[in-house]
Amino acid sequence: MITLASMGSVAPMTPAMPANIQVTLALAIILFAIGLVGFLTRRNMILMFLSTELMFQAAALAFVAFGRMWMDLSGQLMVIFILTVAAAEAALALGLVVLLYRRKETLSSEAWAELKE
Amino acid sequence: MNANLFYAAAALGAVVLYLMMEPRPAAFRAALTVCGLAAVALIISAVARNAPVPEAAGTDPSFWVHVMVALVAVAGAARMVTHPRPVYAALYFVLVILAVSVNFLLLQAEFMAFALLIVYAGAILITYLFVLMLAQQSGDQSMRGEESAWYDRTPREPIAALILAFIMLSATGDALFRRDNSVPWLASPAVVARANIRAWERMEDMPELLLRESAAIAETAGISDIAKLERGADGRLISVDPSGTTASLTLLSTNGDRHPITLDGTAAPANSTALGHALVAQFPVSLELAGVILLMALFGAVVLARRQMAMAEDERRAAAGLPRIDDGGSLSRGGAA
Repeated sequence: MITLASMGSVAPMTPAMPANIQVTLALAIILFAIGLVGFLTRRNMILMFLSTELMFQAAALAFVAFGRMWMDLSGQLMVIFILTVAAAEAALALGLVVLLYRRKETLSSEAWAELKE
Repeated sequence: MNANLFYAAAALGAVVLYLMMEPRPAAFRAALTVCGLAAVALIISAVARNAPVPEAAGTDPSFWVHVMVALVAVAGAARMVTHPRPVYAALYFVLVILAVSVNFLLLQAEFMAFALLIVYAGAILITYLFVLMLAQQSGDQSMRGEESAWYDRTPREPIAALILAFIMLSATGDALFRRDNSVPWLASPAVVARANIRAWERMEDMPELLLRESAAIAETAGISDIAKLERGADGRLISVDPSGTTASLTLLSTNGDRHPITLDGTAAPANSTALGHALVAQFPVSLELAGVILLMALFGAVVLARRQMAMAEDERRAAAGLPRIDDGGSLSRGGAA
């Protein structure tokens, strides 16, 4: 009988420390709240989109933390799809912002207040 | 969770964020930084108090790394939403991404940590910086000699936004960390065993990797002529013990000898291998859909970028009093006809 000696590295399947998960989740909800504040208070359209990216980060952090807590990979797989959607959103949103900037020569979202009618 | 401490710390954080929104003298800024970091530390201590410690962890210093990373991330995020100059705000977002990816590393999500660095900090943020610099060229009338435009210096409805964020933070914090909501923060032995068994099943889906790993182990014991793995009576390559910590399998030599071998957890697939396997095995349709989304975004960006060039030219000519190039009557507003 041959047995592989433990290499002294972190074994892949040890339960996570609850305090670590809790700190990470606290960070996630704080980042989400700050991203919300940024989205509401910023007037620059690009920075409003950047604040939504901050909220994406918070969601990704929560996914990974819960995945680690349940020792499941689905959380990390969701983050891959978050990255995909964020990349697509960045490309399209920035294209639109450049389009709007060329029209009015300003990045202020209030220059487009007429759209709300 | 210590509810009162949590609410007080969140309110302190909201006040600090409000004060950060206007430009302040340096000493005041330093005091604000200290207050804000204290608020975050208080939230963390309200949340992570009395957490059970697994026996395997012992005295694990990773908790303090988590706390420091959280402080860096929150400081970067607060500066990002309040900085008057957009390019600096984008660079502070890079700091947040760095902190989050360190956090991913600590949570044993190595692939996601580096994917985040490469995709976010390397690609998405560069796109944002490009557009920011494109849109903030000199001659922007909204600057009027200041170092940033008025709409970057004046927040919109900060008090309402902060009250909303405070309510949201309190509600989510309460839902997550309330003492009696019985979240199983510490994974039970059943969960650990299930995760381990799943990891071994994943290993079994990769027979070549399994053969290579076990042949390498056998070689350290002096057996070098491994031909293949023998299937057990149930048709499976490996048999996992109920707790999932070890798995045993049988190697066949070229001359027909059988060598039983036991693998422990360190032989299980590493994060990126397991993630790739899970992505293809569990979510193949989502993976294809993600590809379609990216392709559509590419098409959309190309269509948007191509279409507006002529119109912008027309607008400029109209503003300068020149006749439009595209002078059809219905198009005279340069609209999206």
